[in-house]
Amino acid sequence: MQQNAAEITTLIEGCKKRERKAQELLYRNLYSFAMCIAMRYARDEADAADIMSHAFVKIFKYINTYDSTKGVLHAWVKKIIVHEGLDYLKNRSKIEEVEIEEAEQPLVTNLAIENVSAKEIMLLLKQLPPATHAVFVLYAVDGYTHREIADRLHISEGTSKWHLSEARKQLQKKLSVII
Amino acid sequence: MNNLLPYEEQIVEKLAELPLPNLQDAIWARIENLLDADDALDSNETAEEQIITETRTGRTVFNKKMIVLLVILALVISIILIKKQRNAQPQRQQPASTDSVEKVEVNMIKEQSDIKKTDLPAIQKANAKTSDTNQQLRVTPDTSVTQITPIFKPPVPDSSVKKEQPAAIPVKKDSVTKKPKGVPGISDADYRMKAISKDSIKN
Repeated sequence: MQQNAAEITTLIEGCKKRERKAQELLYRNLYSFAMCIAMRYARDEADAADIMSHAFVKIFKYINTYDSTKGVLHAWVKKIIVHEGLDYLKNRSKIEEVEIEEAEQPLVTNLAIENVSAKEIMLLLKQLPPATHAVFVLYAVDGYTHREIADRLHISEGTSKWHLSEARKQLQKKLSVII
Repeated sequence: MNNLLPYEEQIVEKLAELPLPNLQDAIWARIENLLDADDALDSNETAEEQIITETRTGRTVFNKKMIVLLVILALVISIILIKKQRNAQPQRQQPASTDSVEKVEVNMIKEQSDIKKTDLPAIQKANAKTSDTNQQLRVTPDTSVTQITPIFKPPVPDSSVKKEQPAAIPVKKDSVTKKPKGVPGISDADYRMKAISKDSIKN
């Protein structure tokens, strides 16, 4: 682990000097971690590749601004990939503003999701409207709060809550059909 | 961490198991191309910036030279103009003043010779005034003609004295022709009463 950290630090130094080899090695080191995030926001593999390429160009361009004392490199990379993923979602569709005071709590049933594969779950997520999909992934998977989601998507907190509620409703419906 | 429903937690766990596509090399090739393009753009921008800064410095040097040249040129022109003015001033002023004074004096002599000897006291007064005016005229030669005319009028009431118009005053003709007065063919003399027979003279 310590060896890996030291390796990453030297790679970062090389990237700051714009050394192509260091950039390539850092990219390959972070590939699985970054691709996993990109896949959550993309509709298919091609879109994920788009998000990845643009995100990594930004990473290498602004690597000089990365401060290791403020946080781990993975957190910084995740921020950039999520940002890129949200940009991709915004470009794909306009996120409509829906104002609600209280989000409806869907009926929670203990479904046997264990029988459902990750691919099938991913397909269900991709069937959601883009904004609803983004809010669900940001809230449930990446752990963002409604305030943070509202700031990132330029919507109100109420709208973020509404999208989460919608995602839950639709997912439950679709899961019940599969199961 | 946000409060998640049990099935949501299961979804999150499942998503972590998601198999990743084998696009590592393809994505790296795309990233490399984008980075190369970005580097080329950056180098072009820096080259453009260098050119811009060079041209800017070139312009400033050019501007400074131009300003110095313009100042020198302005100084030379102003010196030439001042010299010309200085040369022109005495030539203009001196003859003009002497001419006007001489003309006035000649006029005065003519008038004095024409005036009858009976009018001597009045003329003496006038001469006294003219001597003063002459002094004034020497100081202000350009206004000589206009100042003298009112002084000469009062002391010469006699109609026999010939009044000569000052030579310096040009008589301007009206540019617009005036409409003739009265009936054409009848003059003012036609209305005068004339004695047919001079009886009083005969007697």
